[in-house]
This record gives sequence, structure tokens and C-alpha cells, in this order.
Amino acid sequence: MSAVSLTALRAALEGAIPSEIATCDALGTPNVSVISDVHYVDTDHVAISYQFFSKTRANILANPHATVLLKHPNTCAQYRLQLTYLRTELAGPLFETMRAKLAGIASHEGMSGIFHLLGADIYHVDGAEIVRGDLLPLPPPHAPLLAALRQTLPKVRAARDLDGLVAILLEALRSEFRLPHVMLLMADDACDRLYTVASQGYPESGVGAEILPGQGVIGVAARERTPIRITHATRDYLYGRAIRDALRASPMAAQLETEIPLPGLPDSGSQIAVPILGGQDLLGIIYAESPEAGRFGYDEEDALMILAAEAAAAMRQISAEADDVFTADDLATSTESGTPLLVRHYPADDSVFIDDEYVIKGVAGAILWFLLTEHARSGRVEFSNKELRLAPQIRLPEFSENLEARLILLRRRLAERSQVLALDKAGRGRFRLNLSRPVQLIEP
Amino acid sequence: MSLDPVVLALLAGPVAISVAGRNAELRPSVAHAYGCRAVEDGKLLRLFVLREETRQLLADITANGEVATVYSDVRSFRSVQIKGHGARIVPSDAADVARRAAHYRITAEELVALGYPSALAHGYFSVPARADFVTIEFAPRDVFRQTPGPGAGDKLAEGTTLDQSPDKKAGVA
Repeated sequence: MSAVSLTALRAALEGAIPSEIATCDALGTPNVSVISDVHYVDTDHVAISYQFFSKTRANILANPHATVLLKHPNTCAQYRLQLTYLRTELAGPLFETMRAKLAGIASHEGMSGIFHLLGADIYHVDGAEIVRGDLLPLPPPHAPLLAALRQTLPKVRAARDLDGLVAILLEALRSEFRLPHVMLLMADDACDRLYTVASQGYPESGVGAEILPGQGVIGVAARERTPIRITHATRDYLYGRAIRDALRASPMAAQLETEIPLPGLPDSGSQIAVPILGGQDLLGIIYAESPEAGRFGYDEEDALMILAAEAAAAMRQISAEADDVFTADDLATSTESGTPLLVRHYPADDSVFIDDEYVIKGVAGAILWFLLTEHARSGRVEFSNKELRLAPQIRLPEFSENLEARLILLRRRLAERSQVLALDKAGRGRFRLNLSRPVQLIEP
Repeated sequence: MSLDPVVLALLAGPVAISVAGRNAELRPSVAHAYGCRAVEDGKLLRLFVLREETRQLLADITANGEVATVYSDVRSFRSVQIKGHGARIVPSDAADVARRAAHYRITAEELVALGYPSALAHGYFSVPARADFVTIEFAPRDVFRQTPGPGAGDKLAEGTTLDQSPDKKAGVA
């Protein structure tokens, strides 16, 4: 039996195989219990889920020593940890991470109703040893994550605008990280919601779909600003209908996007959401899912957190750089012909319908309506981000990255919904409204 | 005490088994057992462990005889904990060896039936070619229901069975 670092044992801390915990009461009677989750916290700490008051719990409160037996889910290796109980956390990021993980484990074991997390018991790891070594070889990794990061990070740092950054992230997640089903959501702090700016690997992109903090894997990751990972996807955290119902029930429902559903795999096996954090500010969420159970481990979480940190730095850099100055010389006009396109705007929620089909509402709806009215008034087709920021009709939240993100989602949404109306980039901080038919604006 | 037939049936089935002891400083030790054998309706239990995996546990049991064991059905997670004093380390006998082979076979086969890859199912319960087994023998003193969920840890009083509802608590493990 040899000593080993806790970090090297993380695969045995996924909850894939139940573990055993031995404790001892103050009178010297030992106790051994099967537990579903020993969670890696850092190189010196683990957390164990506290689900109901048990003899194990009574014992550790009286005598903090515990010993845990772990099994590797792939190699049949066994490890033993010597632990000392420190404290219990009843809320917060670690608690939520463990609650989501436990929900996945419980679903996997057919015990969803039983496994409710009451607390995360934090232990110091006094020692870790290998009881028996690997019997079977480790399966090859799904993706070479270090190589993926090395390939991707320079591209992320070189991104010149948010649109380019989004494209780089999606491409890297697909080709380098081998994650075919991903979504990128941006946070709207002022309005306390997340909106989908891009996705890939779904029949419907869901661009424009919104979600409230605290709802599902994505919403909990956003609210707690911590990665949330589910190794066996569970109803408790599925977004779909429950999330739309929550949106519709919200007091802010009129301001929320309830018409565009969030995409999702029908038989999702694993899910991960990592926050894109600029300091304490939540800028967005990278979300991935897989039909395969157990697809995302601690290594995938680490890699996506590094990617998200670089993406956050790039977003901050992009928004700090000034927009190009718009000059009147750039005025250009478009050539439109054919029957007019009927565009209807409802000021109450800024929803916009094209030929009676719903397109978008909220900030993106206000932007679209502003562009179309300005075009109708002056014939102009080129616009700058800066004038949008200054337009009183568009009530933008204070973070400027929100404007670019809204433009990206509007551009993508129009590309999906209309053959006639498009937004194209026209240099940094500028874009062009492309219309192939005349437009008739209607505001009831 | 002899054990309830339902408990004896659980112990004889496809179960994962762990054994715990503790040292003089009340720090617990724990290891996997490779099967168990009930003698005389469970008046004595004999558990098979690998010496190289259990040095601390064997030292603790030799020093003070305190033992806690848990048996968890791999199909249902139905579990029971059995504790005793005066446990001792004895050489494995021929009946232990036969029982260990049977336990390995039925447990691994059950895991395969549950959908685990064969290499994993057999791997978890396999032993080295030149395994140095010893037997931990003890007389059960207390039996506790240990299936996860409400009622886990309830002591099974004399005359009650594992499947009775846990409304009358005689103790908590």
C-alpha cells in the first residue's frame, strides 16, 4: 500500500461506484456505512453528502475521525482515505455542486425520492493510500484536453469582437474538445436572466431562448457562479418544460422570452454548465451535454473552466476597446423590390413579428425596430454599435458586452427566421441591414 | 444470537461486504471482504479478507476485537450492518475457501446481469493469484437495517425481520 495524492484519485470520487465510510462512536464501537458520494474539493479536502441523520453523522460529531474506501470506476483500483471532519456547509456553491451530482447519482440508482442533500460535510484528508492498484487499463480519454486548450486559448485571446469569439468557442468545443452538443448563453445582470446567443448540435438552435438563474443545470451554475455537472442526467435538473413553466410563472414573464424553447437532447445522459466569470460578475455560461452517461468528469470541468476564464478575459478586452467612429460619409442605401414585408412591433414588450410570425422581443426586438424605423426614415442601412448604445428607445443594461451579444443573437435569429431581412457585419463595431424587399412597419 | 433467515439469505446472496474496526485512538479502519460464511444460523460469522489489504484492520481487531460489518445487495442496495465484540483473526478453512469461490461467482455474475462489463464485474471481486487470505470470526451482537433512506440505521430487535417497517426503533446505527 502506498501513499498517493488525492488529485490523482479523482475518478474514484465521481460517485459512479458506492464507497464505504467507517466511523467510531465515543465509546469505541465502530460503524461502517455505504455512501454514494465522496466529492473532491481540493488537494487536501473532500466533502461527503449529508442526506439524513445517521449513525455515521452522530459518530463524526462525537469523534471526527473517519476512514473511507473508494473504488475506481474503470480500473477496479481501490483507495483508502484517512479523514477528519471539519464542518458542514448548508448552502453555497459546493452545496449546489454536490446537490446536482447527488441528484444524478440518485436517478442512476433509482432512488430520486430519497437522496435529498441536507448538507456538505467537509473533511480534511489526513492520508490517501492505494489499497490495490489498477487491474484494468484506463480507457482512452474522450478528447486530449490539454492539447485542446493549447490549440484554443491563443485563438480566444486573438478574438477581435464578440461575434468572432463566439464562433471560435463553438468551433473549438466541437473539434478540439469533441463536444458536439453545446450552448453559449450570456448573462443579463440588469434583468437577471441568461439568453442563448449560439448553440450547435441541435435541430433548433434556440438562439434567443432565455433562462432564469436557479433553473436547471445552467441556472444553478449561473446563480452559484460554480460549475454544475451531472453524470447521469436526471429529471430534477432537466430544463425543458419545467424551465419554460418557471419563465411563464415569473412576475417578469412579460419581459422574458417564453416563445423560443431552449434546445436540449431528448435523452441527455450527462450535462455540464460552467460559468464565464469576469471577477465576481457572471458574463455567461458554457453548456455541454451528451447522450452518454458519465461523459463529463473532473478533467472536463477543469478544462472548460480554463476555457471560460480565457473567454471572460477576451470579452472584457473586447468591450473595453472603443467602437469605430461612425461618420455620415458611410451612408449607404439598399435596393429593395417586391411586395412589402409586414413588420409589426408591440411596444409593451418590444416583440416583433414579420409577416405575422414571431421573431424576437425584449432588447433584441427594440434594436430591430430601431434599425427598421431609422431605415424607413432616412434610407440608411449602415449602423454603429455606438448609436445603438446611445438610442433612448433601446434600454440597454450597463455592460456593453450585452449589446454585442444581443446583436449576435438577433443576427442569428434573423438568419433562421427570414430570407428577406438580415444583419451583416460591416467592420468593427458596425453592421449593415440587408433588405431584399421593401418593409411596411406597423405599430398597433 | 442466531440471525433472521432473511438476513442469512441476504448474506448468502450477491453482496458487497465491508469490515471496519478501530484503534486505541478511536480512528477507524476499513476494508473490503471477499465473502462471508454464517455458522450455526449465524451464531458466528466468518469474513474473508486479504492480509495485504487489511494490515491496520487486522491489528485493530487483534488489539480490541471490535468489529462492524456491512452487507449490501448489489441488485437492490438492500443492506444490513452486523456488529460484534471479541472478533478474532483465524486461518481460513476449506469451507471458507469454498464459500469465497461461490461468493465471487454469484456476485460477479449478478453484476454482469445488471449490465456491468464482465471485466469490471469480475475485477472488483477478483483476488491475486497468490492471495494470502485470513478469516475474521465474530459472534453477531446487533443487527441494523442499513438500506439507504428512511429507517436506515434502525436496530433490528429480536423477533423482527429485515423487511418489517421501521416504525418501532430499538436503536440507531
